[in-house]
Amino acid sequence: MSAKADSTKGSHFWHLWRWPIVMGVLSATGLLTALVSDGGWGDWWSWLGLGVPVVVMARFAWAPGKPQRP
Amino acid sequence: MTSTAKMDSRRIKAWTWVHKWSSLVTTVFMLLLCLTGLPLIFHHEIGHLLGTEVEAPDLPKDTPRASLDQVMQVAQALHPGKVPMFASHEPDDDRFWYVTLGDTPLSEVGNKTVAVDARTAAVLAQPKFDEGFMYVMFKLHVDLFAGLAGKLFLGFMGLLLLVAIVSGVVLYSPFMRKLDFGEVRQTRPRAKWLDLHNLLGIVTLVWAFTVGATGMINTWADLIIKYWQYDQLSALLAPYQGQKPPAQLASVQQAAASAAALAPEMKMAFIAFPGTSFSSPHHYTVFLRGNEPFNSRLLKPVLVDAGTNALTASPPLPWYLTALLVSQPLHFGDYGGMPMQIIWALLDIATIIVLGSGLYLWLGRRNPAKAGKAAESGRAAKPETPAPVGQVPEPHAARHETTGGAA
Repeated sequence: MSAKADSTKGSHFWHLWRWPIVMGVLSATGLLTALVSDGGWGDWWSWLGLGVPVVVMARFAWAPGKPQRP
Repeated sequence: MTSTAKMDSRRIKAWTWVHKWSSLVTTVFMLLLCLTGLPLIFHHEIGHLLGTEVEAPDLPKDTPRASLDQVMQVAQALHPGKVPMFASHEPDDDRFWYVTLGDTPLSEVGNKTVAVDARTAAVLAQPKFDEGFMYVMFKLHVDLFAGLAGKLFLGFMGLLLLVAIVSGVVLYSPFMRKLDFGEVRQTRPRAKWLDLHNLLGIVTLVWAFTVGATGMINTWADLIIKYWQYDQLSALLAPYQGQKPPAQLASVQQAAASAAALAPEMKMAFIAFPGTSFSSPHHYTVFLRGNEPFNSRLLKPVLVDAGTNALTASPPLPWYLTALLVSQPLHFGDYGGMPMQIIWALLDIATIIVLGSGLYLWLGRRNPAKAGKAAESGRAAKPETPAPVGQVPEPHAARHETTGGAA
């Protein structure tokens, strides 16, 4: 909540965008690692990088009402 | 209202307009693409289930391979009068050849495919790629049964989708200002669907943008290959000016062998016969693929004179073909095994929900009189949240409703 109470522009930006940025970076690396590897770690990371956003969506869509306040 | 706030509000209005119209124009087509794309993610698995996938028998690894000339003969004997267009391998299976035959080297309808065992030259199957459920899904997804025009139309829809995604990201900020990430308000259905739209939209952003952009690039494939012919092959063909294409084709086996000898570490991808869109009237063009994870997606074309079997040239792959070939896996989601395919399908379903909720918000938009009331309830819904300094003062959820919920 401290980010919210603090009305300086920077912290407001981070409050709004940090999770979307984390999701975006995870997705982007997930899309790329499997492209440059043949099985192994690249595939594992791509499942993680693209899978975590799916889990996050499911978590908030099916268990709403208790917004996470990181 | 301060001047900054006024500008902010005008900017939001403009982006809302962009988001509303780019979305409205594309939504129906994007829903179609998402729905038809869903089975296409699993086309190999569905082919196995339907028994339409070609299965080559297991033979000892050192079984000698049949001559390609013989393979072609066997395939052509099944379809007398048709001319050879392509002989190709599946990326991960060189135990059989797909031989494509057509009425002319450039024909697009009535083409026949024969799967021939690459070791025994036995006919394995005659897959029908132009009928059945998966064919309908494929055509609806790729060109709406309208050929190049359909492809380019869908490509334009893809471009508008990218505009909708970018404008949606711009609007994420004003509409999420007072909410935490992932917060889905349960006060009213509209608020709930708006929050879900924003959540699913922002989380699928990078994936949807990638799949949208690479899909758009794929719609240009025909044009890119035509340009490649013009750009790269026309210079190589200058010595052939005024000559007729060879009446009798030289051995395709020998052409393939001399191309393969040029790059022994590479694998055979496919051979384009003279006169097809991937070759010239005078050449076999042998496409080799790399054997490393990344360059296995890239192709090396080798042109072999179809009359004399002399090696003509091996022009390097230009950047635009590289871009096309790299964009394909990023669109298909077929490069990370079954877990990736499942995640691809789930992200596709999330996108369907984003599209559906966007449509719902637009269809259920309120008239301005009711919007005033909505503003009241919006204020009541989050009374504890102060309006951040320097921002448009009215509740954002309420403003969203007055703009038609297109954001």
